[in-house]
Amino acid sequence: MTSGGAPAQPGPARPGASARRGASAPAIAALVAQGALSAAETVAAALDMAEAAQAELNAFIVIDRAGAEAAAAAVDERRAAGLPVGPLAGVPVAVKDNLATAGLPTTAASRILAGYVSPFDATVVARLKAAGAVVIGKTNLDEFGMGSTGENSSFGPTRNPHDRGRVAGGSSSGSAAAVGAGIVPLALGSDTGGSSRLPAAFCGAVGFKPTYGGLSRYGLFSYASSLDQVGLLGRSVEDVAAALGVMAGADPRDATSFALELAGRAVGSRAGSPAGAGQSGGTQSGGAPAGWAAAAGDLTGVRFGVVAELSGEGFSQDALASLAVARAALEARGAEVVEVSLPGVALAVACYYVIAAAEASSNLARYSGMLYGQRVGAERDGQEPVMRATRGALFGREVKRRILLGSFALSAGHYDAYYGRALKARQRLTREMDAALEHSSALITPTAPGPAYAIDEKTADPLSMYVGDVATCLANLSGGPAVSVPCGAAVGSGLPLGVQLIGRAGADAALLRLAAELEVALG
Amino acid sequence: MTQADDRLEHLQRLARLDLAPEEAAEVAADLVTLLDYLARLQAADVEGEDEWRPPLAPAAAMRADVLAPSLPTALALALAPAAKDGFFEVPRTLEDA
Repeated sequence: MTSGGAPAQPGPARPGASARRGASAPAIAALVAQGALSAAETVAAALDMAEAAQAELNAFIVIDRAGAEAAAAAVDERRAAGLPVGPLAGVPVAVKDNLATAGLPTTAASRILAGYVSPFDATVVARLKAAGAVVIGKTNLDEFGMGSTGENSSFGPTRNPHDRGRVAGGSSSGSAAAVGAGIVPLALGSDTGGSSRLPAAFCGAVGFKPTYGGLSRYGLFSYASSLDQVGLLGRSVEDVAAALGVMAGADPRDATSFALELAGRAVGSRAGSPAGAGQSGGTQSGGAPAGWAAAAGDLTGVRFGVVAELSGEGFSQDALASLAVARAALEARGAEVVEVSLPGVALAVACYYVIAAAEASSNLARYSGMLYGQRVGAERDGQEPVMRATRGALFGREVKRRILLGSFALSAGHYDAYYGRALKARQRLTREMDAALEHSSALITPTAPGPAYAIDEKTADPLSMYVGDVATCLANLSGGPAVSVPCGAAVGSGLPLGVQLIGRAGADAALLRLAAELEVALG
Repeated sequence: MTQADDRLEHLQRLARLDLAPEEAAEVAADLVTLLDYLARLQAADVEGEDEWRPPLAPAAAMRADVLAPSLPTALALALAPAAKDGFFEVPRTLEDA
């Protein structure tokens, strides 16, 4: 479901489009604020690219040309009138389709929500818009965020921009593909077990999961509430730092949100405001929003912990070589890199999938055919048969698998043995990670076991897909922030690889600063 | 019907979710594989451990009881399959008294 068709050939070239392909979000906003570039032209170039790539990548579920053009024109009109345009003025962004966007379909890539049009914006979307960003469309995903490949979508799989025979990774597949293909510098995802970082690594983008509660989840469709966070994907650390700056801040509509400390002071409580830490706001943008995450170039006295359990078995030679490259780059800047052990990693995937499935079975109970979206079965059959028929017919296989698994884990006689034990194992792992982070500024791991999987490689064996989340799910289990940075390419295929930094809960700004240092060190 | 079939039917009833006959066998096999993997949790020594809590969760507090704008009725009803007099119209679930 895209507007304006999906031409197979690249879209018409616009002046300056290729030059802007690699520009950061703050740099684009600075040009728009100065009048050196129009928001209309910038957004039109992104829309052209999105439509041109759609047939091959399937990155979008909706491309909103009319809405994006109107929003971009409004930015240009404000600038022309001398009014503030915000720190992300005219920056084209893509939004994962499990985040509510007013007036646009919001389907979570599920047939059960076909035809649903959100009447409101998620808080993070409202804050991006208030900062001047322009939403060009809604991106494809694994249904309700359940998957690591981007193949579990009722709209079909997203394909990797670096190799159409490979997956984009999931569940934020379309957001990662859109950034990796150069369509947008910035996209929103979600991250329950690595759903922003894993696809970012597969597509050559930066992927960031903030501390649990660091971003409002109002308007994010719930999957596993103790793990879910809004994720950010960008061309560079600067992009995600800029977006975090405008979106962070406690939200009265999300009781789990709090004022994240950025640049030495907390972002105040507000709703929909473009203001944020470290920004000048108004028409001044440039590098200011991300300034608190800028690299200084010297890591003397900084210690990184390589997780021993994630540095060997289960990881490809490509992934381990990428980790070695990152380690050498950090050491060359003066950092100390030591080995740390997290024995709890052995239980991490089991722990994660019990908790995620259990919470999913509860959260997705709302899709009953009674309150939302589509309904299957004759009303005269009664409520329960209609619920069972609706959910059986309209949920995809992976969603059904997780709901049934979660129903088992929460059922009488099994709760303590599965969900209860998983929560305790989670606490043990968190304590191990906290202890390691007392002596290291960040933990470092490969983001994924290797480069992007081939299409269909994992579909017949869900467990083999699940264990690929072992490095990323750690930060969801602990609640701390984590970021994946592109690092090298696979031998032969040239596919992108990523390394992950995991930080202390609440130390998101410090972690992004280290990620920016790593990005610069890698060149 | 085998014991395994009974267990799968029980789960489908708990989840309010019908599997088509052709997919039931595949899903059952997947669940067996997954539960076999998840059984490693049973061997873990977690005695004395607390259950996980969010690291920086805000303290639970009552919000102020103040009037605030809510979703306009027309917008809320826009997606309803049927509406009448400003309300959702839903199938009857109770018989007439």
